Amino acid sequence: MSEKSGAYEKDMKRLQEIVEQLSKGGLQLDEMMKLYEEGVALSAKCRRTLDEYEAKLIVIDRRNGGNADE
Amino acid sequence: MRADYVLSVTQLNDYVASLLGNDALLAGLSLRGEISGLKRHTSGHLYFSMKDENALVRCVMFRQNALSLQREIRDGMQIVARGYASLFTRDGQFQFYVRSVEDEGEGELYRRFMQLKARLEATGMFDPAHKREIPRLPRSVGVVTSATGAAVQDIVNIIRRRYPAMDIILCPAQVQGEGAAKDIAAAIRAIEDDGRADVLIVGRGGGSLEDLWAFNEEVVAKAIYRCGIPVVSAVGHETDFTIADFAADLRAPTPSAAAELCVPEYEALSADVAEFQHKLALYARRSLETERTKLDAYRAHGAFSAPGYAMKSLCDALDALEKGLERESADILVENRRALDAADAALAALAPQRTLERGFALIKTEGGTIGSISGLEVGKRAKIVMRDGEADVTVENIKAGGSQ
Repeated sequence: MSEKSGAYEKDMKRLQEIVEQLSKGGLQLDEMMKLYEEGVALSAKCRRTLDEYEAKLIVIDRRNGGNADE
Repeated sequence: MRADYVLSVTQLNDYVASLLGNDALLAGLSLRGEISGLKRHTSGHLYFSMKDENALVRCVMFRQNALSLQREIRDGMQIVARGYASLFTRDGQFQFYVRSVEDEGEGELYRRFMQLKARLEATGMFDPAHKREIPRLPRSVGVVTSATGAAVQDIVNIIRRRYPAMDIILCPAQVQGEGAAKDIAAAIRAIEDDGRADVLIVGRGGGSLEDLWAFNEEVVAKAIYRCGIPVVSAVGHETDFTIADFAADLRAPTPSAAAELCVPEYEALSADVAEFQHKLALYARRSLETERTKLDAYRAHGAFSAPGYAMKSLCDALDALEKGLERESADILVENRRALDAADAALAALAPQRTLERGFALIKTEGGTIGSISGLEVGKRAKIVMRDGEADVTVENIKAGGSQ
């Protein structure tokens, strides 16, 4: 699970900013590489977030006070 | 009226119409019956009959009244109509002129609905400022609905189609009948207590107003309003509005639509990430190519004669960066970092050469390039580096201060 709700949205927003900055060019090499690295790390994290679901269907059974996974 | 008094047809009908028109009961009454033979005229007027087991009366509802109908009327519907009875003199037709329509049996419920809506609205429960945003990618989706209805099937099917691996937390609830409202409220709290879902769909499939009534109860509205995660309501069909819809953060017209609003399409999100990954590599590569072009231009100008090593290391650094971009792994990032540091160093080393080109000289001692006269000592050796060569010298005399 992603650490908290909204993390994915935040990461994707930052990723978009980075891509926009890089696309404009005109950055110092070290700035550019720093952004690039941050972007690669963020995209890998977003990718992991997308793929970490397990297709679970959990039914909360209030009458028997327990959960049942289907 | 005398028997030998001859009337025109118009006079007869006008006379009867005036008799009816003077009757206090006929001037304003509520009429209960079943609609049949409903016709919509292009003018917007509605023509129909109202009937019971024994009798039938022609009815007309004029356009301006028909426009104010809360819901469409149709054949077979039991209604209570407000209006007046009179004679349509042209046809000699006795008819009922309908001003407004209440659904039979739903009139009372509708009044309760409006009362509760007004009361809760006054508390600020429906204030748009309280509406929370639905997350674009929930960790898992909570669902409160009947375990046996069509709604749960629709919701699960749509979620599985859009995002096959999405996790779903279902808390079944009794959605109609005695105790349904309390059960729905308890199920909402159970999803909240479970803590895994970060968006919640609350709803049921279509039904009569009575069937949907639990969603018009205050206890459900409050549970939705107080719920710690955003709630999407999905009660009945497009045309059904409930108190739950007003209390929810978002109203979906149907349970299927709620699933679509809560769960993104995996393919679309995946494509977004892939596109960013592609663009990152593309733009980084473009930046490096720009750098290389600049370097190549310097070299072509023969601006740097002596420091070939600096040029070479910078080119090597760029090569390393470019190779790095072609591979996508965590290791390569470290290499990139190193190559970047090398590039930084090479660039720093190159900077003075631009000054040399303009005729200035660098003075070096054993300690490296010096920036001040204090770096020199009488009798020690130094090296003068210029654009086109270098010379070893010995310091004979030092005068500090001023740029003489």
